[in-house]
Amino acid sequence: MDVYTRRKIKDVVGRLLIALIGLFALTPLFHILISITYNGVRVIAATGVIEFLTGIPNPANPSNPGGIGPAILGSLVLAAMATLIAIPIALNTAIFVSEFRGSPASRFTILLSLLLVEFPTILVGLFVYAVVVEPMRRFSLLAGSIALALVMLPYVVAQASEALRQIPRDLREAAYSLGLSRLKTVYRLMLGMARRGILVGILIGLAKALGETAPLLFTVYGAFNTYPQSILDPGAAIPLLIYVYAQQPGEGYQALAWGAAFILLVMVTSIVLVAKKLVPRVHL
Amino acid sequence: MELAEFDENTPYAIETVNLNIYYGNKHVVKNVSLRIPRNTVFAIMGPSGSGKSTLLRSFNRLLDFYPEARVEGVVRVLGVNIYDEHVDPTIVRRIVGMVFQIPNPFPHLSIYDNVAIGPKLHGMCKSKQELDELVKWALEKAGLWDEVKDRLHEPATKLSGGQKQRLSIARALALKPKILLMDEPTANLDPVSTTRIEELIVELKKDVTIVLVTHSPRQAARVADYVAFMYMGEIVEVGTANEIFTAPKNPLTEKYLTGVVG
Repeated sequence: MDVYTRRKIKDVVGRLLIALIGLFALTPLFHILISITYNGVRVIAATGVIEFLTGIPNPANPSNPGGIGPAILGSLVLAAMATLIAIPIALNTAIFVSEFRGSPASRFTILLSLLLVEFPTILVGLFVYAVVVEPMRRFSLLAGSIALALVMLPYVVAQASEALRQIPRDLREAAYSLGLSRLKTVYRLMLGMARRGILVGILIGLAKALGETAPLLFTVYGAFNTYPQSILDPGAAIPLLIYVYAQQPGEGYQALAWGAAFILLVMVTSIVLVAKKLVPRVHL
Repeated sequence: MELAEFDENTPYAIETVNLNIYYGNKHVVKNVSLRIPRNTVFAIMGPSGSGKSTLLRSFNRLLDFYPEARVEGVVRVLGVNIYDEHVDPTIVRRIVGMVFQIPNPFPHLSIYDNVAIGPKLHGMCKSKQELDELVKWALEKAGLWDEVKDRLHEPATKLSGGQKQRLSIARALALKPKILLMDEPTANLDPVSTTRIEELIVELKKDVTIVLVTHSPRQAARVADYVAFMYMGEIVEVGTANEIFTAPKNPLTEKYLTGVVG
C-alpha cells in the first residue's frame, strides 16, 4: 500500500468518525424536536387547532382536553408588554454605553449587562415579587412582564450598542456638519441606522423571554382556566402551563402540556429564524 | 445666538488670525492667518498630513468632536469669531456646510429624506410643500435632480459614487449655507464623476463661498480662484490661482507643483 492510499483511508475513517460524533451530539436535539412535534401535533389535531388555541383546559377528558387559550393570550400579552418596557430602557442604556465608550461608567454598565445575561432568572422573579407583587398584594401580568423585561434587557442592550458602535465615524460627522446636536444625531439618525441590530436584539430577547418559566413563577401565578380581564389580573403563560401540567398525573394534563410545548416551539423557532434572516451572522 | 449675527456682506467669508491647532502635544496647524474672499473658490492644497483637513474642520467647529484637538486663535466666519463663548456651534454649522472625502449619504434614508433631514430637524419649512420645493431646489443646485426625480423615495445606497457625492452636496445645500467646505470631495471618484463635481463647484460659487481641500494641483488649477499651499502645518504661500501656478514665489510651492515634494 503506497503512502497516498494510506492517507486516503485515514482521511475517510477520520471523516466518518467525526460525522458519527456529530450525529451523536445532535441526537438529543432531534429527539426533542421530533417527540414534541409528534406528540404535540397529535394532541392539537385531536382537539382541533382553533379549539386548542382559544379554548379553556378540560383535562378531565383526555380524548378532548380542551385548549390553552388563556396561556397563549398571557404569553402574547407578557411578550408585548415586556418589549414595551424593555425597549426604552435598553435603547437608552445602549446609547449611553456606545456614546461614552471607554469611560468607567460605560464599562461598568457593560459589565452589569453581561451579568444580567447570566443572572439566574429565578432571582429575577423573586426580585419582582419583592418590589411589585408584594407591595401590590397581587400576582399580575404587569409583574410578569416587568420580570420578562429584565430578562430581555441585556440582549437588546448588547445588540443595540454593538449596532450603534459599528456606525462609521464619517456618518456621525456628516450629521454634526448639518448642525445637529449630539442628542439629535443619536436619537434622530443613529438609532435609525442601527435599527436592524436593535430589531435583532429585541427578537433574541423575546425568544428568550417567551420560553422563561422561572421569572413567572412568583409573578403571574398561573390562571390557566380564565382569560385575564386586565394587566393587573393574574395570568398564565405557555411555559408556566407546561411546567405545572407536565407534573400532573392525569393524561389530559399531559396532553395539554405536549400541545403547549409544540406551540411554544413554533413561536420561539419562528422568532429565531426571523432574527437569523435579518442578520446572517448573528450569534445566538 | 441667532443666524442673523452673521453678516452676509463682509468682504471675507472666512478670516483666521494666528490660528494654531494641536492634537495633544502635536502642533498640526501653525500660525495660520488667511482671508477667504466671499463667493470664490478657495483651494487649500498640500500633501497628505499637512494639516489641510484639520484646518478645514476648524472652520465649522467640527473639531469640537475631536477630544484631543485644541484650537487657539481667531476664526471669523462672516464677521463672527466662531470660537467666541456665546457662539452656538450648531448654528455655525448651518452657515458653514461640509462635504466629505467619502460620499456619505445616510444609508437608512431615501434620496429625498437625505436632503430633507437637515431642514426638517431644524424646523426650516412650515409645510410639506415648502419642504418638497427646498429638496427639489437643493437637488437641482447639486445637478442631481434630473437623475433622481422619478425615484426620490428609493434608498440613497442605490446611487453611484458620483451621485452619492452630489447627494451629499445637496444635503449640505438644503440648509442654505453661505460657505461650503469640501474635504477632497473627488478623492474617491472616477474621472467622469470628478469632472461633474468640479463643474458644479464653479457653478456653486455664485451662491456660496467654497473652501476646497485637495492634494491635487491640477484640481486646484481647474476650479480655484485662490490657492493656499500648505506644508507641515504651515501656509507656505497664498495667492490667486494664476500667481501660484504661473509664478510661485516660494521654492517649496514650485517643488510641490512639479512633483518634487508631496
